[in-house]
Amino acid sequence: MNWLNSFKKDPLAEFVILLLKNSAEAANAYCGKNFSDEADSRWISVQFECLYFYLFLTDIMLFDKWGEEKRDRIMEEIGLPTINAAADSICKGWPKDNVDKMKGECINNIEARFNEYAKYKILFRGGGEPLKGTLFWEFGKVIAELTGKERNIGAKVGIQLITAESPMLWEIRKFVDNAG
Amino acid sequence: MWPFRKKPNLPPGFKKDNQGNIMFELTEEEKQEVQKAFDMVKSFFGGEFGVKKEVADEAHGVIIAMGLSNYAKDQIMLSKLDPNKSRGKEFIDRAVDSITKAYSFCQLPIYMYDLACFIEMGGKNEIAKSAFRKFLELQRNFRPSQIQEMLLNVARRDINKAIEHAEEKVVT
Repeated sequence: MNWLNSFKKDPLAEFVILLLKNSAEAANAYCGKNFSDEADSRWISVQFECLYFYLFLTDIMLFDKWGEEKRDRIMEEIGLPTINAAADSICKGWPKDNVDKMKGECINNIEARFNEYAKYKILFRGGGEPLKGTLFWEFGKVIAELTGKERNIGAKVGIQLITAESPMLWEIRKFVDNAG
Repeated sequence: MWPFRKKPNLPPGFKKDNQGNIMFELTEEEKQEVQKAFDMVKSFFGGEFGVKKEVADEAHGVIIAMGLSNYAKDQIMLSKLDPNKSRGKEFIDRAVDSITKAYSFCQLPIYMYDLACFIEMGGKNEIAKSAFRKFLELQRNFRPSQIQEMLLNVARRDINKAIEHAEEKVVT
């Protein structure tokens, strides 16, 4: 029992919090846990990339399970609030104009990422099959570039594996299944 | 009286007037959150809203309290999300200040419960325990007005869960 239990359940708001928390943890895993001012911009970019990726997975899973209309309705309720909450929490103390600029950039970025990720119809391949051309591989590439490991194949495979094993994927699946 | 007794420190932004009343000002961030609460209520009523003269002051206080309590809640969320854990206490301190101010605008027992939880998160378990006790006492005799009832619904508070939690805390 804790303080959060004294709020009536709101699955959408809880899912947004889960997305924020897990993207922050993923950024810690990919960038190292020693968050410092110098590492700020890299860490922030990685957290946002994780958010876009989780939102994309949520989007496609919702579409797959519940169809376009319901997917659109739910994504409208979680997409922007997630981006805004992330920008508000990460850019705490920044001048309002800079936070608004950040939010605008994030919206452009998420649109670009969604268009890019939509090209990959296969999520993940295991069992020694080629990884290239899968969604998780592309995400691994993005994170590797941001963390300065773009030439390191092992790092890309590692990122892909960490992501595929992430408990967040189960949370997304659970959220989508219960969205009915 | 022992002359060296430690004077209790008031948090930043709080001060005492000549009569010993505690005064405070809202921080810029709190003001923004209060403004958001007013904007939210306005948009809910389609741009404008009015209340009967008899309850105007209460409604005004309730909306300010709603903004401050939202701010406190955000601070707690930030304390959990912040990657730089050392800043956690800063966020909790701000939440404590803000919920205290909220309570002065609208005496909902649930704000006393929030205060107890935030104090406990800050590691002051004994003080938290007496705040939990105070919450239970206030809640026992509490009959919400219509406006307070509305606020509790908007804030999606589960009072029974809060009572259950506080009861656990006062016996341990």
